[in-house]
Amino acid sequence: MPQKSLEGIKVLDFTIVIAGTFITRMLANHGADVLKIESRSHPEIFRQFGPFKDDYPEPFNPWNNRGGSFGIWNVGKRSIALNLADPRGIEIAKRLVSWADIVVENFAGGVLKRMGLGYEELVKIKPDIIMLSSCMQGQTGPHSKHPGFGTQLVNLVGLSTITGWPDREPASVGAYTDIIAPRFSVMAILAAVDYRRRTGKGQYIDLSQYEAGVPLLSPLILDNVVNKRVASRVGNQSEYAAPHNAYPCRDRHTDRWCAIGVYTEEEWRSFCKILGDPPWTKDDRFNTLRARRENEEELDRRIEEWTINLHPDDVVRRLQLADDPVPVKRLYTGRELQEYEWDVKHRSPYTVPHNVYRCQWEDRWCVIAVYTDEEWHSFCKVIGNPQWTTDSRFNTFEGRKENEEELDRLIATWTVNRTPEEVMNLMQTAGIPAGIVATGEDLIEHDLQLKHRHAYHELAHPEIGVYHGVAPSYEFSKCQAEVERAPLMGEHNESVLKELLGMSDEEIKELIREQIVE
Amino acid sequence: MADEEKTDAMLSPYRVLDLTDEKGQLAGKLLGDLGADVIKIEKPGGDPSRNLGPFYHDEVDPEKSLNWFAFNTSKRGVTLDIEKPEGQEIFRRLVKSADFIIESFPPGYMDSLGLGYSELEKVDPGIIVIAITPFGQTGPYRDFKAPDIVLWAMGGRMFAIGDADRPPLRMSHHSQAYIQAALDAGLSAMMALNYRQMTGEGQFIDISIQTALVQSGETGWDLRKRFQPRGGMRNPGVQITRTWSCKDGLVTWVYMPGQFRAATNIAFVNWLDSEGMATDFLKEFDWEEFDYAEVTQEIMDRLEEPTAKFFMSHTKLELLEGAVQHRILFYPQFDTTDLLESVQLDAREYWVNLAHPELGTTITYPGPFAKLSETPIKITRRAPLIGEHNHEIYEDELGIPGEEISKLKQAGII
Repeated sequence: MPQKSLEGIKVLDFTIVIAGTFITRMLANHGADVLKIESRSHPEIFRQFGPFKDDYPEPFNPWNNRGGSFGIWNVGKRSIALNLADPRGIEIAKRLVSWADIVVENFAGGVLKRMGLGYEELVKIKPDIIMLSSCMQGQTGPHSKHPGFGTQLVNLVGLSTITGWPDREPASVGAYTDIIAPRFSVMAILAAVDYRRRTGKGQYIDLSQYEAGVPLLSPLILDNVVNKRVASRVGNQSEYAAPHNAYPCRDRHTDRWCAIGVYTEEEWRSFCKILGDPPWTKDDRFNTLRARRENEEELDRRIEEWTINLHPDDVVRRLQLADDPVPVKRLYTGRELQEYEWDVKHRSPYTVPHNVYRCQWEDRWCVIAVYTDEEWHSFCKVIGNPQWTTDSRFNTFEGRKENEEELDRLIATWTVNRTPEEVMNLMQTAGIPAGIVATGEDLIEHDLQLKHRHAYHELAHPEIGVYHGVAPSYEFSKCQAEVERAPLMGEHNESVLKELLGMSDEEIKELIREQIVE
Repeated sequence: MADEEKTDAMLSPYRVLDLTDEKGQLAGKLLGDLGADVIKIEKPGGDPSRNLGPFYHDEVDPEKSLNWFAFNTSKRGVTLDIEKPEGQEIFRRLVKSADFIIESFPPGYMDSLGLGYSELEKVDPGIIVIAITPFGQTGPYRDFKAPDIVLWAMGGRMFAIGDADRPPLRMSHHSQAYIQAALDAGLSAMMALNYRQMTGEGQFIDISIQTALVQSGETGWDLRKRFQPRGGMRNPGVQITRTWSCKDGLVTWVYMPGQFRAATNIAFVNWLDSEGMATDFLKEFDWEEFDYAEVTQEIMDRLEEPTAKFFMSHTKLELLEGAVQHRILFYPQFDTTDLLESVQLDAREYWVNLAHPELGTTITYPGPFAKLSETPIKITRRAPLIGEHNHEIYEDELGIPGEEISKLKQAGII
């Protein structure tokens, strides 16, 4: 009986970098025979990328076997190096297609086709081949041929727009789509394998990493379609209201801010009154919500002229004590400003405190999220019921939400003297959601749960020495996942040509001499 | 098992019972899009995840959650109380007709109801059960409570995102950690299906959301023994701009060093030059020698000044079209409106419209995640209403008589 779920499935792998290699890594982890084709003319650029052992800078060399990223994303594959700029190299690739069940590639749209290895060609060689092409924006349409990386695609998908502090530019989320599109790809490939088993038919899968990335924003897209609301980074001015922003107050040097949000026309009128109905508020550009949002920059500048001369407490008092109060919050520092949850319904309506807290030592953090009154009482007990927890302002969920910035500041006075592990363990033991903000060191060296699940496998590599591969998140009751070291460049040239294509030693020597096999 | 002959979609012979909350609903949706018959099983009154916003016209109502709409298309829906014996009996009957069960209850919950894998395997030896939990079914953290912010932190993703002078960041709005785990649920279901085709045996799959994040990350620690600082590498004394303002928004572009990036830097400068906006300094700059470790602020400023002017003279769409035309590696920062208006997505007929007759409207949804030559992926129906298919499934398919269904309703089972 087979031990692995994908035993016997043969994959010809033209992929490079994470967006492609993660696909075939998942297949290799569960027993598929993955043969990676590498080529000087279309190099796997991860071969040249660090991290390198001991952080030692390596000279530029596309043949480098010591690239750490390559090692992580190519575990369990074989490698053959072919000269794909030469028709004889293409010929060998085509012979390998007849061996394979599945072909996977992620060159820019149309590149493989121009090399003579498009689906239309491959299907002539193997009529039931399953081929997946994964590129930035799909194989058709006006942008199909645009090359690129996940680090740029995250911007087009809209992930940058929803990540970051409201008062700063969006944060970099790395190549996030690179780790999403491959999951979709594996699902489609294996569903196609099952379809072929039932019907005998292969097929071509054109996966646009753009289109596989957009579903990450699905609820926000529907919010736009239905409610015409454009999602931004939490607390950012463009979401639910205008004005809707954080404004600097007096004591600017100590980083004092207030946040004001005007949702309805009634609130807008009340707000204008509090400001003393200055003439600019009568301007057509600020008449309606839509108009205010269109002229938000101007609007914010006007409001700032007012807030900058007031203490934040004063702003709060004036807005909250008006006959028709206007939503306002006082913020102490830039940090609180960022974590400030303006729209409670959207961000975390059920949770307070809900934040990242500084812990002992340099740049160490923990997260705590308290959902229920029960959890709140446990939380107070864990931190030793300090006097401030009995403050009536924190008695109810609404009160805690209302006074969240004060609450967060008080909580941080407790966390800052403890390690994140200590905070996590004390909280979780009492049934309160909490966790350390894990560094790479924490993941590999310290996390007990990851050790329990054998998430990291120590791998011996002839050039790197020891490094770690990572296991899949899914543990099967009857199949073991495999994590074996990544191949050296062209490591399996000879065995592949002999065993899969039945070539003689003489033929192979000739190919090497002619630099068809690299 | 359903009819093996039905082959119009990739997964049309298969049935999925979906017991997940927000941690796993995307998995069932995707299997449904691929053609499986997915039945969402909710407790009577509806799944608590229906309370997650945003809401249709901001009306807080379990039948109007856009979050629910987004992750539950291509499913039918029934209500069933699996904590009561009568409900468990019906659940076992459904299991006999099913191929996959996906659940996201706390570890041990299904076992405590007598519905754990070891029991369900007796009902149907081919059944594939996929369980999604924050940390997995076993181990020291298995009972830890873990909403998205905790998983993001403990999965190693949070530490590197944000600025060095501020705390780490998660992505705003709904949970991205859950999406990663749900994708792993969908693809591991396909792996287990392959194993079943070879052996006839189903199995249990234990997914840890923490590990879903861990497996898709690089620690930066392994070979370096140091972390990537938040906000990225760079020469500490030199400001290098990453996000630029353009006429109507933001665009991400970095002059990056390295032989690979030289070509895109040169293409970019040529574009500026073609519009008369490249300075001599930019045109004559030696990109092969460009190195963050050695570059001075003065040089960066001289590179960036004309660049900022150039971006400010263009819209996001002009920059996108130019990047494509000149094959330059950058994109503007899109928001959801830009997505909905994307020329490329439109050309590929990406968006789909689903009717919501009870709301008297049609809503545009993100479309199929890939284009397949033989068996197109189809988003077949909007998310189910609470108990919408109770009669269709219980009466028509399981053959439970009408009066018994009324009794079950009265007893609060369905």
